[in-house]
Amino acid sequence: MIRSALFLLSFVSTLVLIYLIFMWVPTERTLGISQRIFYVHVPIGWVGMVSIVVVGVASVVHLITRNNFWDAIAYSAAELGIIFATLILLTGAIWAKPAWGVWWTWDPKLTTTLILWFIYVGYLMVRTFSQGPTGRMYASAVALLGAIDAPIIYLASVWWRSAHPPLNIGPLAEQEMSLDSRMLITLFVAIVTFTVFYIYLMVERFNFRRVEDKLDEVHQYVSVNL
Amino acid sequence: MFPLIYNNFLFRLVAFFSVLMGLYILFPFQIVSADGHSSNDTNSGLNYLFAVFFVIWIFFFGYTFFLTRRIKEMKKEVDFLKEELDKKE
Repeated sequence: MIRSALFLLSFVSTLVLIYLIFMWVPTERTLGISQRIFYVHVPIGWVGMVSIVVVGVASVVHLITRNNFWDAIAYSAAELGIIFATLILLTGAIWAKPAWGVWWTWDPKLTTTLILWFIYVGYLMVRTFSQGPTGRMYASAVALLGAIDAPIIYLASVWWRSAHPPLNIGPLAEQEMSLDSRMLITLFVAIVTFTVFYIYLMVERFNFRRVEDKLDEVHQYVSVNL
Repeated sequence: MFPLIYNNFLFRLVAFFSVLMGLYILFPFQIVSADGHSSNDTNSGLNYLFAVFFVIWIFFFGYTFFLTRRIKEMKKEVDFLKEELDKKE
């Protein structure tokens, strides 16, 4: 019931978001229509960073409690996180081409995001190649590195000279960079849409992960006892 | 698992729009947006906007496909375990 509601909510809000992006929001003067990529690039970046924090927190709680419930949350968030991190890089590269004239530049924000992507890959590789409690422990250490990287990505354009636009959402946003009200509404709808979709995917993946864990237990039981 | 995405109609709908977006990116045609920007104007960036949506759809479609395949594998594993248990009994 909750899963269906989450799916329907994200489906409807996606339709609304597509309408807002293509039909309603005004076109930015300098960048033109390509600026509308902003309304998907920023929410994907937000979800990608939230995901690594979820992986880090769930990993630490798992290390303390040794409860596999938290490990399933960490693993599910990491798997979704790598999808969103890849999408941050790809949508960013597609936007960079019309805005900067290049697909990629070693800008601090881009570089720290690429590091986050490698951290996600590292986490999943450790989980794949090192099974059992030891693997989970090593993977948790990798996840903590990612959780440290998330605020660095957010503040990269504040700390270093960067080609990336300065922060225009959040507590550190510059006042003169504040957006037009219609742009802000579209951005808000986009963030809500992607967050709801992320929660839906997390619930699905978490339940699936729990079934995978149970199946592994049955496999072990069968191989030992029968 | 994916109660609505897994539904055949929506699955085909997503595939249809993904193909449509891919075709548009490969063979862009004249589209004029609500505020008069033309896609043939190199500064408009409409192609880039479509490319972004195409990439996002492809990724989520691919991920759904990956999970669906994994569910099928798990069903096979459950059947295998059932057979093993039946043999032992």
